[in-house]
Amino acid sequence: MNPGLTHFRQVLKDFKDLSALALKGIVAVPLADLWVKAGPPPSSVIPPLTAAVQFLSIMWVFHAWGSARMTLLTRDMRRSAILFCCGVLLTGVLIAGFTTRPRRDKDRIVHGFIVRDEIRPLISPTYTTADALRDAEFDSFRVWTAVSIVIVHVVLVMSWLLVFVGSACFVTLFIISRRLPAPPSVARGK
Amino acid sequence: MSFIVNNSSIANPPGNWSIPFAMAFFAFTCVIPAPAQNNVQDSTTARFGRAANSGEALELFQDVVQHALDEDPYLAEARITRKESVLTYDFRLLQSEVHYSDDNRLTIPLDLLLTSRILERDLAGAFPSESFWRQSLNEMDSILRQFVAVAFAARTNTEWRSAVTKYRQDFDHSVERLDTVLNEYANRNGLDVYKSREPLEGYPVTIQIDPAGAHLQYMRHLEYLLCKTFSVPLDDHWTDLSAGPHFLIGRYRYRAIWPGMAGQPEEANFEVTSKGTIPFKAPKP
Repeated sequence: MNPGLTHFRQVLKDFKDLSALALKGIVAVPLADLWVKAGPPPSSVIPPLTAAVQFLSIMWVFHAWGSARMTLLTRDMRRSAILFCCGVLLTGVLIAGFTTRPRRDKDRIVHGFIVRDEIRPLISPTYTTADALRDAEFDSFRVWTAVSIVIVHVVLVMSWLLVFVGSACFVTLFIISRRLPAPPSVARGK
Repeated sequence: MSFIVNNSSIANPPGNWSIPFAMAFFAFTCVIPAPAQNNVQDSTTARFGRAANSGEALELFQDVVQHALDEDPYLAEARITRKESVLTYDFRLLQSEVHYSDDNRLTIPLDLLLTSRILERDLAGAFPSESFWRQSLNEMDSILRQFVAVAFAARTNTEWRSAVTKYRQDFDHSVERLDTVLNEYANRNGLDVYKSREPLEGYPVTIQIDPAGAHLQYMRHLEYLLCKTFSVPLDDHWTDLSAGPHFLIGRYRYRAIWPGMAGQPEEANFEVTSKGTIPFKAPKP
């Protein structure tokens, strides 16, 4: 078996090491959104999908980076951190600017960015798209074009996945790097 | 402006049923003496009045439902209507999580039976000479017959719970099939179908109208603004608003014709931001 995947199996079985627990926790975190409903809708699909994508990306990282050198791991940890930060930023902007949550116990409503032709004459500084959405029973398809809503929704889901995949990759690369022998300078210092 | 949504629910929680239905339900469950049952093993086992078998239990259920339909003006409203080339219906509120409020052996079969009877009545009214919908209704009848038999005979709570899950799913699938055949029929016959796009579920609210004889109508406020902007007559866009439970959210425009009040109907907005009761009262003369 690929040494990386052997390591993956060891980490899965390990319930004592902090990093191994962190990896399992990272896969479990998106499932909290089943109840919190803070992420993109539908909340019955996206959290399990996110957890599944995270799990696959962890397997892939163990497989492909399992025997990588420390310099490579450090570089890709940095890239994972950047991906994570970009994902958080984009998701935050999209959730704040392009979603509404009229009922706290229900999913978010995703907006579009192109207002429907018949709605456009109504929109003014005193009557915003948020007003139109409220007046349309929070059915965003009555206010924005379907294409623009779907595009926003897809980008939101992708950025949401990026956040969790980025974090999973970062932790996985960190775990792999810990198995490597210490650099000679550090070894000499001991 | 192409949507007309009927927001009335087909069945309501027992807590919201009108007084006659509540009285009939009370008579059915409490006043009619129950025979000694040897099979009672847990507190969830229901008493089925004089019924000696599941067939008689079903007849009792049907009597209660018929009484409710005859007496309750809210239940008497048509949920499926066909006017010329427009078919209007909304099955959103048939979803089991909406109207099964009291999980026991009497209320759940009663809810389902009430739903199927309302569907049958409205479909027969909308399509008196057609039979395309009969198969779905027959399926529902068959499911209900089996469900009542299980409700009558199930000895343990576990047995009953698994039956509830199964029969609810079967019933919901029948409703989905009915939705499909209605759409197919509408396509074949060039009917415009107006129904919900499955928007966000509204808040459960109770509409109170005082005095009861008033005629209230409403529409989404956005629809109202569009009609005003494009000089479209409002008359085709009002939907009757009856007293009783509804699922609403956001801002609406309503107009009220109060009995004994001359002049123009009263028009104003109302907004639903939480669950609760929305009272409409006639202005004092």
